[in-house]
Amino acid sequence: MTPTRSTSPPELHLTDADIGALKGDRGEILAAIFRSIVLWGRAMHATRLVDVEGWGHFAGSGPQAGIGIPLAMLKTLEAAGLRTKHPFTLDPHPAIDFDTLGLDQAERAALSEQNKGSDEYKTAMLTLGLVSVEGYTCTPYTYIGGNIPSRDSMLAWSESSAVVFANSVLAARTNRNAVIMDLFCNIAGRMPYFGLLTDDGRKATHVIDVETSSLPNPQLLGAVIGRMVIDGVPYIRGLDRWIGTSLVTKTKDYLKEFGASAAAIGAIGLYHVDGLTPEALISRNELIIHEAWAGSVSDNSILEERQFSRGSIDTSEDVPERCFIGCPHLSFDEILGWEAALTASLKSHGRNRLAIQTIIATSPHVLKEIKHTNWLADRLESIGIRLTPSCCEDIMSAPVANRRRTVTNSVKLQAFTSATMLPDADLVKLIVLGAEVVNGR
Amino acid sequence: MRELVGRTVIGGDCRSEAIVSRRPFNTLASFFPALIGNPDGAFCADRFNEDTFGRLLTGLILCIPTAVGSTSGGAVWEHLARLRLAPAAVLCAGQIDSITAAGLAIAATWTDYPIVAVDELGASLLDTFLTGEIIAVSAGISARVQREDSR
Repeated sequence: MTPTRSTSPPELHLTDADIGALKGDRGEILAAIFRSIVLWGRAMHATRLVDVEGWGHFAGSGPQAGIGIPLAMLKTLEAAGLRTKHPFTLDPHPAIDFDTLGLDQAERAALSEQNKGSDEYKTAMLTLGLVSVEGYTCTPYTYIGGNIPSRDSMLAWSESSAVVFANSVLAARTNRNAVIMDLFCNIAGRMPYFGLLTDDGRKATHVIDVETSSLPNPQLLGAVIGRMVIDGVPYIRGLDRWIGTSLVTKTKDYLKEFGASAAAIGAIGLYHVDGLTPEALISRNELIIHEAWAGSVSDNSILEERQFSRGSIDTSEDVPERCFIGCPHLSFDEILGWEAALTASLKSHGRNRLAIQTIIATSPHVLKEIKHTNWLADRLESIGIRLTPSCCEDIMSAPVANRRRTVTNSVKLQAFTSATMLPDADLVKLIVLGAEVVNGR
Repeated sequence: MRELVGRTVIGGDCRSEAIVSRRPFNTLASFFPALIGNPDGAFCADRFNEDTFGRLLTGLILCIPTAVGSTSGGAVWEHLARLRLAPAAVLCAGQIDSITAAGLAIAATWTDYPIVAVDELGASLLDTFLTGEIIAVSAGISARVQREDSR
């Protein structure tokens, strides 16, 4: 794949080094990368390019056409000897654990065809800077030793759920970058300065009061606020009442689920939670624009969202064929929570195993941690839970897999596939009892 | 005379049929089937967009308020350009969104099929031109869009 020359002159401020790279001082392929970045920066009214200061995270983890980076382009970059300035992590590897996932022959064939070339893709990514084969997860920030950017570090990430977590909970700075451009910026080590990288771009455009009578389901709350705000920056008040004022693991997990949904239903790249998230703790008043839109979320809003976004299967009539939990990938503590809830429910109903095939998706790192925690691995296996490092959305992107009746805890998975989302308590009951729930017994 | 002036994002001239979407254009949802196999043309698959659903988009001039959707949109535009399945031009009422701008910049730099793009044409873009009309885009230092019979 050979880049062609663009005639559009750059208008944003460039350093001598930027200009040299544009002219080809460091090779024609890097020059083409800089031309792409400059064209994009001009379009976004960027004033200058700034350094990429930390690890990358990219959504394009496989060669699926139009979803990942073209394999030929990756090979061109690799052959030119280019590398990212810092290591990077990727979204989950295309599914290969077909037995664990319980896929039938048609699903296996469709996914194999869809992800043809994924080994070459992985090899190229490892050469370009992928941290390791354990770096395939959409939540690389949930474990020690993962991809956890420092506060105020300037990044070029994609994967909407990761972008919104990095910006909001970790107070790093990244725009929602397009697939391909994310890699380009990390190779160039430079990116246009605009949007969520800037102080002004991080100010709240909406003030949302959470007025629910109990802790709202994070995914449904995210969907409600995503629909309200679209691509704005919400400042959320009243949530600290339910999730506290300290960013402990449980709170971070809640915000992970909330943000993933808000970014999928809307296009939110940053939110602030009053009394909790880093930027809201320091500069509350300066963080909200004067003409900010005001709104609220009530118990009724959550209920309406549940009804509005009801999935494609009627769980009062149809017995689901499978359940996916873990879009985005679960943390270790979240898996502990699901194990406890499911064990308690099984015990109360006098059962030993789940009635519906249930698959939990998590990072390779957390999978390894579970294997080392013998009692947990044994317990999950004994009640019938299967663990995968794959992506539920990737699996269901194959039309033949998307036809299977699937339930999930994820608003994001429901938004992009035929899966039906249920709140956690309803989901536990359904996968424990299966047909008994559906038949109303 | 029906003519609008905007800002050049990706330069070039083209003349083709307009297709107007009054809703924000969801790039991945619209083009997803065109990414699979070797289709003859890209037909819009976004069933939530009644203006464009089911219509051919290849070679046309796409008039939109803005675009929304997945960060994969960047790779989608590159893929469409490389396979000659893309619209001839994208015209935006407001400032072009970041994902579309990035995708079009990559298509312009890495393929032989740059997609002309003009933004900041104003909200009247969506009323000035109608789906099916032939319009001409001239995007250089300044950018002009006009209906063919008004030239």
